[in-house]
Amino acid sequence: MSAKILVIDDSLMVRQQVGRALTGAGFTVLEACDGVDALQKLAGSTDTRLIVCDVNMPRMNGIEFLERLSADRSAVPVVMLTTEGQPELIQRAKALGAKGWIVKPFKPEMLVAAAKKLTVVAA
Amino acid sequence: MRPIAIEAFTTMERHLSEATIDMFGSYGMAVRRSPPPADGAPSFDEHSLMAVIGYAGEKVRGALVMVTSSAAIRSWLAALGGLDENTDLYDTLGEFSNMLLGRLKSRLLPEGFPILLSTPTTASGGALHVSKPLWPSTLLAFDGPGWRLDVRVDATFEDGFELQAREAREVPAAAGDMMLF
Repeated sequence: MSAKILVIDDSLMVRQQVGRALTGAGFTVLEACDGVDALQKLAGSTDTRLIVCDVNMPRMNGIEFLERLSADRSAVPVVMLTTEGQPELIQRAKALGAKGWIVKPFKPEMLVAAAKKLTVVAA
Repeated sequence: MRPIAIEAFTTMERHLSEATIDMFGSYGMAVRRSPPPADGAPSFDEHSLMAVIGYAGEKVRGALVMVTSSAAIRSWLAALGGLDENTDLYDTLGEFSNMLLGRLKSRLLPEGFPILLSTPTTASGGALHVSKPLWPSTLLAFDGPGWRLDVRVDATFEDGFELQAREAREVPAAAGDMMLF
């Protein structure tokens, strides 16, 4: 069975781009439009193996989402996928347990390589 | 306007031009500067869309505005590999405005000019006209392969605005970079 990846981004265009890259590599993709939506979807799913998460989103941004996962002691690895490249933000995400940071626009093969590596590690 | 604000805004304008060309170039679309519309003239006669995204920093705030035609956004989607035909044009323009301001943010950080971004708002209409405000503002126009784009950025500098000291400046990760921890 293919590993399930949750893609969180407020842009449908980005969710489609990421979804296309990951499903093409054999992953199953679940989408959420922000941190609040993602928490609801995670609550109803115990088999998510990786999360790909934007930073700047309405309602709950990516850093706030990481804070919630950290507080909940979640073991699901998270890769941030964002236009942001500020070292302070990257360090903040890393301290909260993020396993990777990709600055948009992303190369699909790079994202797939990261997904394969992190889903194997998490398995 | 104080000399430091003039310097900062000139830097912002230069980086905006380069960042726009870089961003579309990263999707394989060659873009070059073109003359902006005359004062008071609409940016586009045809149906067009506009995205506005705000930013704020220490004693500075402003917004980035992107205006282009529906046809232009469809050609951007084609360059992205022909995404789902139901892809929302508003969402696409909003994401491009977010990526452009993100690139501008990354370029301003090593200049000692850190900013934080809001999320984009989009609208559409006919004969959209980007007004010229009283505060520092620049309107840049670009020609892409078969399309045109107008980008405006403006800034309001408060008294006391300063660029960060050189030793405090950070070098951000660049577009396309990936780090695994």
